[in-house]
Amino acid sequence: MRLTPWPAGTAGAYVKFGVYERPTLGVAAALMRDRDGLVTGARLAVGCVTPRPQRLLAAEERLRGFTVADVSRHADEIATLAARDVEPLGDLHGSADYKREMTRVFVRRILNMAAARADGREPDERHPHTIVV
Amino acid sequence: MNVIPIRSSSDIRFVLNGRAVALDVRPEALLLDVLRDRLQLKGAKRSCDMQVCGACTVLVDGAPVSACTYLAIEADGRELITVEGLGGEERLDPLQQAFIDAAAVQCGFCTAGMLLTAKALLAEDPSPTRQHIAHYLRGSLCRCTGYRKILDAITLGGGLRQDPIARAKPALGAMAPLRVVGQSVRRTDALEKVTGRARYLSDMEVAGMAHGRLLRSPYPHARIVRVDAERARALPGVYAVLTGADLTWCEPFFGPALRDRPVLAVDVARYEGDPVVAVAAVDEATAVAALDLVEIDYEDLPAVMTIEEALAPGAPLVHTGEPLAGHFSDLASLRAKPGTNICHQFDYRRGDPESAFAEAHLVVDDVYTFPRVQHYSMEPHGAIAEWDAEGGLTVWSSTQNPFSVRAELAALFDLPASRIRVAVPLLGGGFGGKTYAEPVAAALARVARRPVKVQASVDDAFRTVRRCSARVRVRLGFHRDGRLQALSCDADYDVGAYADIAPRVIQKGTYTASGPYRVPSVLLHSNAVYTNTTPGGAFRGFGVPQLAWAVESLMDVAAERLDRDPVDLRRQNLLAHGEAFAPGDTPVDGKLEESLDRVAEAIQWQAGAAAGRAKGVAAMMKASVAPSVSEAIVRLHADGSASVLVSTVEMGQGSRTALAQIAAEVLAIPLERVTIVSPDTSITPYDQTTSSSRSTTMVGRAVQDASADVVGQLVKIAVERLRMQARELSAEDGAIVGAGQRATYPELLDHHFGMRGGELIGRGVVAPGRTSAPLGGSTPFWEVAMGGAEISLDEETGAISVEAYTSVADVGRCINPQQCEAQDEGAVMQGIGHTLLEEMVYEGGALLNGNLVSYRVPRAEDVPPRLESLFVENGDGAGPFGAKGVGEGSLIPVSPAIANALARLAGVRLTDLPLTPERVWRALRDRKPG
Repeated sequence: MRLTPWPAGTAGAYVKFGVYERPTLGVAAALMRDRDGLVTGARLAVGCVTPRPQRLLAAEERLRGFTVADVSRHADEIATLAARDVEPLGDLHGSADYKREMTRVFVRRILNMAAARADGREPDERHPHTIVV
Repeated sequence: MNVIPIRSSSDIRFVLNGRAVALDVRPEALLLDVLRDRLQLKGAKRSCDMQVCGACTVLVDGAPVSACTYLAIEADGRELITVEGLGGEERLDPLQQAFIDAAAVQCGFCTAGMLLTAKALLAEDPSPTRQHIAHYLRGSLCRCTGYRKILDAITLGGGLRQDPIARAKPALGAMAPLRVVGQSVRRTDALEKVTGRARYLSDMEVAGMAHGRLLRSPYPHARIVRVDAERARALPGVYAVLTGADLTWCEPFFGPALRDRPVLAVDVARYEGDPVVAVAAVDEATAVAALDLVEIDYEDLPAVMTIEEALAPGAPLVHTGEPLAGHFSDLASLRAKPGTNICHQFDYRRGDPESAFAEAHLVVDDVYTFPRVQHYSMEPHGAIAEWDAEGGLTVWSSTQNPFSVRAELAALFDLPASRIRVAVPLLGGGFGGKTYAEPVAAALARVARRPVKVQASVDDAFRTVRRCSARVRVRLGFHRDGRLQALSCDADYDVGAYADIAPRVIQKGTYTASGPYRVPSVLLHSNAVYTNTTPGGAFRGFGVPQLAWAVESLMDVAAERLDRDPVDLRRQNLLAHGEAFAPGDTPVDGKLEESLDRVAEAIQWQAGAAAGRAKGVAAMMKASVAPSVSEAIVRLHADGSASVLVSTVEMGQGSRTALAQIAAEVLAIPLERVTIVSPDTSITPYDQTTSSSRSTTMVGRAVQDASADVVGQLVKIAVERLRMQARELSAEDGAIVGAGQRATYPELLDHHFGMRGGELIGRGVVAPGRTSAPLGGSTPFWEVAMGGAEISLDEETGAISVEAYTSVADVGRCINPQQCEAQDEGAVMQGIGHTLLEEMVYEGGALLNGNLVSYRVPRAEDVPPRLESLFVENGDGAGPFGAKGVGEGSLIPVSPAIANALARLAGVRLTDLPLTPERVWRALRDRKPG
């Protein structure tokens, strides 16, 4: 397996949520930025919601060209986009509608975290049953 | 042919606890098996088998790994440390010492893994925060301690910062400690547990022992049409293959209440996991291979998976025959409802409930459900059975009830009690779940003609016994002024496929539905309902948590409707000290107001909660089993030391320590000179059961009496032999003293026997017998527990965080305050488990989460940042020195206290447990605006 390092200035986060050993969902975000701090590309994906981990392409697209402040400002709207684009499968760790809603909640949270990291701040908010990497 | 392939082995070398080791191992060999079986290092324990629980943790090059999923060949060239290498008795590691000092050791099954994980953490971070420790322990489960004392110990063990709360408090209650009783002495088994020397059934081997394994039904309900076990029988290394149809030479059915459970399924399998075929073979692998060769044809039968399905008109019946009564004397009046799935009903009525409800100013009424939950004692149940040439049977078992097991085996194999020996080593947890798995081991051993060990796995445990789930409708009727006038309760307990102990659970649980309150009119009805699921049995709290969940939630609903403060409303209705709970039963033996006030004070009820938080309280009262019998023998040896023979099972609760303290106190000798002999039905005297929080009260009194008997004999000798005056004599510091005279025990014994060598035997019997109480016997004590919770809520996910929890238990007197505290912290965390996390989920007739990966028990991170257990001590218990039972009660108020806080915080009243994030989220979403 070959992994290419993120370009310098990339801010990212991984968050998983759930009470069991296996999470209800996991969300990963990476914001690649140019020298001016504008988002040149974004990666956003959820795991455990759909049969395979899924990238949230519409949401990624929407982030392009954003400043860090834009990311936070539009986090809600992008999260809604993300939740629209998943077709969740209910299981022991959450029913389909709960997973869709959690996709919205955690995409918004992770965008705020990634934005904070892009700003050089470590987000200090804590949520139950949530692990932040 | 499905034969185990012979593979090449690999030579590996590693350094183990400082010594070079060279071995050849098979490539698939797991490190845990190599350590435990090849190298005989039994400190690393086998529990979950899935790298979840951490009991098998060892250090490999300083990093903690789960030996249960780590290949031995991966250890090649590395340096390993197991608990045996951490430090011995002569020189303990500071962490081991800290675990002892902070009372972080209970059953001891998690201890080795905890110690090594902590060791790795402290190597990384010498002074970790409490939060960091809790996070680091994510892969280390403990079911006894509630983690708080483990967190304390690791903080202490770091040695750099000493957390002030980690310091053992002197006396927590109001009573002044005596010489030994009331002191937080070190557990008598702590040293062997922190050094990995403690031996459990799962560590035991008997010469020539074969290994038994069970094949379980994959269907919830099926007729067994054909079993072909010939190929399994022909496999080399197989000593016995048994099916239900083979059990013609013994009684195939057993069960304490109803003999409805076959040793192996006879004709019909009644739940997914019902044992159908048993094999004994030279080793586990051969046994597994043999089971693979068994062919079974099943015919699917309609199954009932829920209470609703089981009670529906025309529902398929789990049992069609009429089972015979078991050996429980208090259930002589079992009332099944023929033609239905109801195997026992309980009814109780007092006062005039119909009129009382009609006249009530306010009636609150709702239906609450309680989930199926699993004990998960870290050591799964196991037994080794061996028949002797004379037809006698010895069983080593991790049972909580050696005498019940003996009674079952006597009935199954038609043996006199004197020919059966049930011996019990230390248990890695119990919680009510370790009952009755010995019959199949005994049957296999008989056919295999050699000792057979049947060691359950955690997966097996999920398919052996669980807590009875319940659907409970409760109505409370109040007078305008807040007085509780009437209570009615209609409870259906789901007892699974076999009755087990459930008939006793449902009646004891239902009987105390009115809890700690004065209720003139009561109408109770409950059903024990069969379903095609894992049998429901005893579990800490014994039927009461299911009802308290409903009653104590409704108390808050009523408080709101009456515009009353919930603490106040409860206080108004509490029974007074000495007041009758029910005619003929033991009057209330605690000061309930004092408990409630302590809770309110501890959680600063009056001050209200900070923004985003809310508080809730709950109270409950539980009866202990009655009538019951406990006996004790105390042997005072020639040198003045003593052996105490009792059949109390040490399963982590600290009974050995408490009973030794009681004996040492009465005998006036140092604690170190008292030894508690392990339960062995051929040696130690009768004790009904280690359950129902009864040991300290009942066995403790028997030990007190037996010790006093010895002292009485010593005094008599002093009077007769030394002409001392009986009135002035007392036992003091290993001697009988009085009026300026003093004779040591050895001196007195020398005089008595005319030589050095005889011993005195003291006897204590506690047997209150039958009474006119509604259940046929008066509870020896009331277990009173109250709790207060403070929570916060992630409104977006529905996840509840318990920020603080205070438990108050009225224990009469703490025999060992630190151990009492440890017990109750564990109980609270187990309560948090079924309140927030735990539920066995069935889908399509099968258990979806019968393992530790998908069944979630509380972890260290789930411990409330503030968790405390407090005690009310008024010396008013019926046990020794005014003590009464402890350890179950504190679990009971947890669910309603948390739900009551949630209702105050978010305006949602949930009626189904557990309060999972999704369930809370749904309730929040559906919440009516405003």
